[in-house]
Amino acid sequence: MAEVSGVAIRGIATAVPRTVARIADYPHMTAEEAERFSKSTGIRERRIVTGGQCASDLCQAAATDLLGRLAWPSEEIGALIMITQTGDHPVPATAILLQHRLGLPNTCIAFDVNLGCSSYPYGLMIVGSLMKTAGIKRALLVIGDVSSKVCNVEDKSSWPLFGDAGSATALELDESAAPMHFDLMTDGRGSQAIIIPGGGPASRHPVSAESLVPQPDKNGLPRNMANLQLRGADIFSFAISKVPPSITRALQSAQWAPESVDQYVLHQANKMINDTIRKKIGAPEGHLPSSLEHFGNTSSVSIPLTICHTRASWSFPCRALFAGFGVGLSWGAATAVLPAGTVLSWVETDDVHRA
Amino acid sequence: MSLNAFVANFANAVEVDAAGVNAESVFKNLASWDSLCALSVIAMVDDAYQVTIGGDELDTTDTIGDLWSLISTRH
Repeated sequence: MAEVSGVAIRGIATAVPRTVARIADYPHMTAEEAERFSKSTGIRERRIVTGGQCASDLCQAAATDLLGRLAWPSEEIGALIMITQTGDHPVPATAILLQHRLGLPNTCIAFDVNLGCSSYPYGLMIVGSLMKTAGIKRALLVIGDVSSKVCNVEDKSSWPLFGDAGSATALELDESAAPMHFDLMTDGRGSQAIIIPGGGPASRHPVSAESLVPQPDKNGLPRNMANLQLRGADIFSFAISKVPPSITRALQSAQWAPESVDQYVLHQANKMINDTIRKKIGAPEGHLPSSLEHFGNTSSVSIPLTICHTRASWSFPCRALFAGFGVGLSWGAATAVLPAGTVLSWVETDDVHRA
Repeated sequence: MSLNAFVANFANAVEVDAAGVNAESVFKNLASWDSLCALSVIAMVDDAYQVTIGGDELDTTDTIGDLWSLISTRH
């Protein structure tokens, strides 16, 4: 259990690509399968990148929008921490590319963190505690993933689930800010549940021409070694058993009654998971915003995107509970108070910023 | 909780006619069985019996009765 006090969330912005991929148009499902998929998962369409757009491009659009709205001079940003599992290059870190492209000073600390669906609570903890210990006045937590690039388009167990997005959250030292409380967890025994097995020459399974040829899994779904592989049933069991106690522990740490929370923002994996978690934590209906229908599972970005997608619900100071869970296995919950006017509308961009 | 009630709950979760399945039914051979059915069954078992079953346990179980045996030892 951990607490970070004296750090305020000043703004949250999100960017998505313009291209809409509809489940009903997916050629590898029958119309009946597509309807059943949408009914169960809650997903009807997602945004996917085209034309070589990368996670940094989406995050740059979100960060530029946010810095403009806050009127924060770029030289005052002391840290930019990027969380992604689909960065622009294996090396260097995508945060470092963004430090330059956003015009941030050389005094800005910048590095990447490799996490997926648990990113938001982890990111608030990492950036908040770094700001406190290093005395950094203003910082950006930047989160982005382009999962469509790592899923095999014919793999109907992964491709229709994921959408692409990038986000930026602005944090500032403020002794009057309400403390954030965290419950962050890890279980590497589940490392095979969501995995991209292949990688560069240094990886456990360097990709080769041979390993890039898709092979059918036990269900006949084609994937190569550089594709995301998902064990949906195992993830489902993990999420419904481990996430509710984590949420309860974070609420207990904050001394918040479950009914006193204005918004429970859960990672958006599928509707069935979140319906089950809602029942288990005793959260009232109507207090769990969702972005699944229009954006699918946007991996690390799902929490900030859901906040921006439901901007009208955040017009007063909100007690918020964020819960992320997935690849790792890694999961956690965070409590925070979001001041009115913190949330920006999501923006669309197809911009590509080649180095 | 009985085996008969579990079979009925199972049929409801995977949206098949309860009259068409019994404890001996090999659930992965149901015409409509797919990965979404697996999630529905895990959710139903969690909700009705407060037992969490893993994907690997569904993989290694054949009939609805076998699944009930697994759950009833933990319920």
